[in-house]
Amino acid sequence: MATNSKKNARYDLNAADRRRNLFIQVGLTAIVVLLGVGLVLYIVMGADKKPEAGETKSIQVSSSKLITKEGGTEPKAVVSLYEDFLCPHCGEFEQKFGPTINHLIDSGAIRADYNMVAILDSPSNANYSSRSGAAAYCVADESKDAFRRFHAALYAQQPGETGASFPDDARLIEIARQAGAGGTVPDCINKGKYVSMVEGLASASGIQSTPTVKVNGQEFDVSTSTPEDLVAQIKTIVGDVPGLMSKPEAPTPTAPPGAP
Amino acid sequence: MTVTDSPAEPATGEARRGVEVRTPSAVWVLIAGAVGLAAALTLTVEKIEILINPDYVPSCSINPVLSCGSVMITPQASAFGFPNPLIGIVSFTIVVVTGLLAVAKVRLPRWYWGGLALGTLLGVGFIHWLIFQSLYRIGALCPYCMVVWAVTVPLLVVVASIALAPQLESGVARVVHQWRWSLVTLWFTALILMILVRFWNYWSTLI
Repeated sequence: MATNSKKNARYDLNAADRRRNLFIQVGLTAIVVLLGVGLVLYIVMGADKKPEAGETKSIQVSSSKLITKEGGTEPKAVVSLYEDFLCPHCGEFEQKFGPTINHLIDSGAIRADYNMVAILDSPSNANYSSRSGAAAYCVADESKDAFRRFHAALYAQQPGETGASFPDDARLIEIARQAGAGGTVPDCINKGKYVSMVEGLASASGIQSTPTVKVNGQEFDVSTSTPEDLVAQIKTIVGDVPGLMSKPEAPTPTAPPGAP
Repeated sequence: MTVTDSPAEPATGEARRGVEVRTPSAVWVLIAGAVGLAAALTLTVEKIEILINPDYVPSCSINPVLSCGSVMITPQASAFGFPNPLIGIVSFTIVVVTGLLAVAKVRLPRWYWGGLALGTLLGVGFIHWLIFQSLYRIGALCPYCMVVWAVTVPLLVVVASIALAPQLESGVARVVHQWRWSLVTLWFTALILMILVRFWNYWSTLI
């Protein structure tokens, strides 16, 4: 309005000027808009979507020999494990049952669904439960085999529940690297991608205590049972797979098995 | 309204003859008023439907983000104790009448345009509060409300240009006036980006 006054002949001298000004104005505006849109889209698209508290996700570990239901890809036997990397009983469970569960996975008898929950978070342990659980999901995104090594390694060097020092994120990244997971794992751990999901996982899954083990959804009592009991129960589901047996307990001072 | 034609006019004739509004500006005011009025009317009707039947799903509840039903039942939707769209019906009616008069070349006094600009400014302030509430407190968007957001800001620019024409000849005001549509474009861009970022979790599932 102010810039176009066609009524007055005097201003026609400035017509070219005005047109140039208009171009500059439109051009500059377009540049600013495009830059803004580009920048925001770049940031937004680059950010990984973080799973929120209330979502559930399990790390499903199985071998290529997995025994499935007839005419499907669903496994006959699913062992769901709900563990906290800080809980001492989980460490004992891993020591007692870990080799057997690994054997069951490798022989194809079961698919193990690991749910890394956090029930022992506190400022005094720098929320080690949720950080380590979240890190395990990061590692599993990269490689399931690396997750198995990472899982074993964290229990092998489990800090005491009331200990003084707890692995920080840098240490978790280093353990993940030793387990064979690089790539996006450091970024995922540093950004705490799975932290809020892990924090909410216990309540979202209705877990009261750890370790909780379920065989095809039925709770398996870990405190009174032995690995032989677990194998026996799996056998009733999948039949007598050759070579299926319980494995001896892992020795107490373990190096991360299979770590490179 | 032009500020560059006969400089004698504002000083002498204007007080008697009122403000001359260029046709594009007049049409702008009329269209903005009509669109805003339509949105306010629809929102009021939908509000009444919800009051009659609490299970009523408004026509603009499209998905979890674009959902006026969940916005209309919030306290913010009745900021002054009665539904906001009632304010819209009254004010956009005034805008429509003003736009019609301007299209008909009726010269309204400058104080009238000044009053309308002031009213629109209050509306723009209210709308920014509503935008903030909608995005960051309620967490949903109501399409008809967004229509009101979209027409009110350009309306303020047009009405303020008409009302403030004599003050726009020099200084900062002139620069701002020259760049006013760029500023409006940036405002729209910023708003769209804020909506994009705020609800990215939902938008990204649509891709």
